[in-house]
Amino acid sequence: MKLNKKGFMLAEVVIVASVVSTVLVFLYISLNRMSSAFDKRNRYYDIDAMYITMEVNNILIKNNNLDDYSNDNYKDLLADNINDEVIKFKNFYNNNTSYTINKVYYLKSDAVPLEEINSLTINDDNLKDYIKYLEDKIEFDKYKYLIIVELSKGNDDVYYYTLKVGETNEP
Amino acid sequence: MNLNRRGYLAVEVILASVVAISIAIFLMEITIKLVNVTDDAYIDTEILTDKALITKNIKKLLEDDIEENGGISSITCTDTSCQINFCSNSSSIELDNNNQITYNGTNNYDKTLNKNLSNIKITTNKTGNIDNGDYVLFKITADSKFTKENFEANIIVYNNKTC
Repeated sequence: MKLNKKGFMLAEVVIVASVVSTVLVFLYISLNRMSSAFDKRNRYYDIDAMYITMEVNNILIKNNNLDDYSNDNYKDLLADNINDEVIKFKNFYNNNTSYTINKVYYLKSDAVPLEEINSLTINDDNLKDYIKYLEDKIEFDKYKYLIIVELSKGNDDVYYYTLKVGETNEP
Repeated sequence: MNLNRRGYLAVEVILASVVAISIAIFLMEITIKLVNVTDDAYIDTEILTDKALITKNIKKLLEDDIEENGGISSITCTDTSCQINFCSNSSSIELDNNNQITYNGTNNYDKTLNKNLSNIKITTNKTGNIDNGDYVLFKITADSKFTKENFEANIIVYNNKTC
């Protein structure tokens, strides 16, 4: 393309604008990804859920429940007739705070129980997303069992924490 | 449409200006969004850190005092403080005018809350006599102007009472 030809300046502007726009679009996508990662960190490592898992772990150890559950892949600790102490704690928490404990699971540290819970939760996209996230993050060999808590805080979001307990029953 | 050189240049300048202004507006919008997201994330992180530190430290000190002093026998509270009587000692959780929360017990702890929090209150689930085997909850709540949730730190301890 020769200089002094008609349209050269416009061609320059279009090419430069395309390059700048591409960079800005990548910047926008990265910004959204960063914002989403921050949000995910807050929802999957929630402080209130963490203290609930620790209290549940204390209940299981105090009442010698771990031996009872040793043959099971997982237990829904809020189901009827599974663990009255955990249900008592859940009722206390739900009645006295503005948060709600939705789910508490005890499970062996393995991908199989996670898949079993995943297959039960057909319509629960939040829990499915969290389980998928856990499967990539946890090194199952390092731990003996896990306790997962799901918590609601009055808005539409749900919050999670997974307590990973090693051989000495200490997290 | 046949344009001479000047006419063509005028069209080029107009089109180039439109493209440049569109890019400038897009850039400004991205910058404003980045600043807002970063500010929100910063305040969220500060408030979450306050919550984590207060919950962890006061819970630990309370549990230590419960073990050393025979459990909680009774609690009395106002809006800004709770007096905790153990079997053989006492402690308190207090709020002062500078948004500072203090635990005064066998060991002391204090933490100044984020200045964006207001209307801070300290409450408990039960006042008066506390029984053995009860869960006791101390709740520190505050209004937050800059985050979607209000501040709520729930400190729960299990009462092993021996008196």
